[in-house]
Amino acid sequence: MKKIKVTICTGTACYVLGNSQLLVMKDDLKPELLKWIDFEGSNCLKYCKDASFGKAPFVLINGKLMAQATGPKVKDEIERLYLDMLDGGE
Amino acid sequence: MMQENRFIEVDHFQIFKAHQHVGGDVFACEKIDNDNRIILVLSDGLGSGIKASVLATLTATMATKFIVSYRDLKSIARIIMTTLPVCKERLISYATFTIVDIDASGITRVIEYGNPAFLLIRETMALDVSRKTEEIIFSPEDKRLVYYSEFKAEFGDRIVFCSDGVTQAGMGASATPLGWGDSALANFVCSAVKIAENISARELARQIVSKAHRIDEGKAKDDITCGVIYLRQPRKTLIVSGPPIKQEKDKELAHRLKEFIGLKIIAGGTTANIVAREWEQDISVDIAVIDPEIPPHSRMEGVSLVTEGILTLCKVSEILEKGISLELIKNNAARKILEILLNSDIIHFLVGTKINDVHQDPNMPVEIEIRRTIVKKIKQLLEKKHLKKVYLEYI
Repeated sequence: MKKIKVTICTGTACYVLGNSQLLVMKDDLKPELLKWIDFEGSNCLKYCKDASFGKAPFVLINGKLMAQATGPKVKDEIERLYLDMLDGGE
Repeated sequence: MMQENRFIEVDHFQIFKAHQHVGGDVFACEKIDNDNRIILVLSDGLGSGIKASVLATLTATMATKFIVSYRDLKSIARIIMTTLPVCKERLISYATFTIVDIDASGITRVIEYGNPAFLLIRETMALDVSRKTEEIIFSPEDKRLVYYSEFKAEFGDRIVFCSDGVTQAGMGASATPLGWGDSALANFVCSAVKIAENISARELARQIVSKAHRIDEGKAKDDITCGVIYLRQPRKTLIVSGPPIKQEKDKELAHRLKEFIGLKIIAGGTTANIVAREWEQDISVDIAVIDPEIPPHSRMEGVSLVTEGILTLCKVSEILEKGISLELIKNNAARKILEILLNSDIIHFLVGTKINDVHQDPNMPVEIEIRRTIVKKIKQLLEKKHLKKVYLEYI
């Protein structure tokens, strides 16, 4: 199976509006799930420059953009992708 | 004090006599003539504690003031000696001193009275400096010897001077019955600069004092003080923060950063992206340690440090303003910036003036001030509190 890639923007706006918490969310995830996730930071994903992408904070999960990201939203998405992966047997 | 490629670093280190809270050794340093001259005084007052401290402080203060108005060093020495209060027990007025007067070109004058002779270290050798002896006659029974020397310090030279707490450390012990001694000190300094060619003035002074303290078996029998002057190349840092007001200037910003000789910091996500794009480099964020207040730092080849902008700079300003010691701060990106800045002599800020619209969002904390205000504040704090030479330029 290929790991789920979570890219967290650590630019000013994203960090202040909640992404500082997302960077520590891995501490709350179950170990069996955690080993299938690759967390990485980005110094600025640049989506904040264009209002059409929505509002900060931004996170990319397997390349898909999530605006106004929160811990529960990111966790749900990760779990959904993980279950898909298990079903798909990739 | 510096010319563009020459910097005179001055620092000292001191340990008080065991169980004393006040030192009888006083180190004073003053920049004069528009920063083109530095006057340093190390004075050791008779005895220890408060009385010694008063004598030494008087001496150091007088010496730094007089040397500005009097060129004749003998007069300075005489005035100081006659002005000090007389000790009732020993009937002498007494504080030894070493006065160093060095200008931007390296011309150095030293007056010594009663302190161990200073050392002039060139590369890894202690040079012989010729000293003129001046006799100051107070009465037929009271003649005092003052030593005067003048020389030109070269680039890379170090001048080391200390109180007798250094050279007399360990006095009476079987290994060092007469104390550590002048020549052992000179050998120690030469080997210290052999081991660490670029050792800073403060670190060398610290090593000398620590060594003397160890010879005193960790209980200083006298105040132990050492001052070091080091003529070296200034350490320069360029910190770029904020995108330029016009996009056409992006290339200039990236080019200026590329060509800069010294340490390089990028403080700002967008700024880092601009440089990465122009240099065709990748940026990787280090998320190993997370501080909820300050975004993590990043790495980019060719740059010493990449950080977020406003939050990190606000923190840098706050730490400088409160004067918090770096050791007490979390190891976040603000501390990393400060470690570089406080270790630099000349700091250039190149600040982009484009306003980041996202920062104007009412959901953002009010303390996010505009970049220019924060950088100006950091500049002032670095100049006033840390005597750095700071240049600020907008792009």
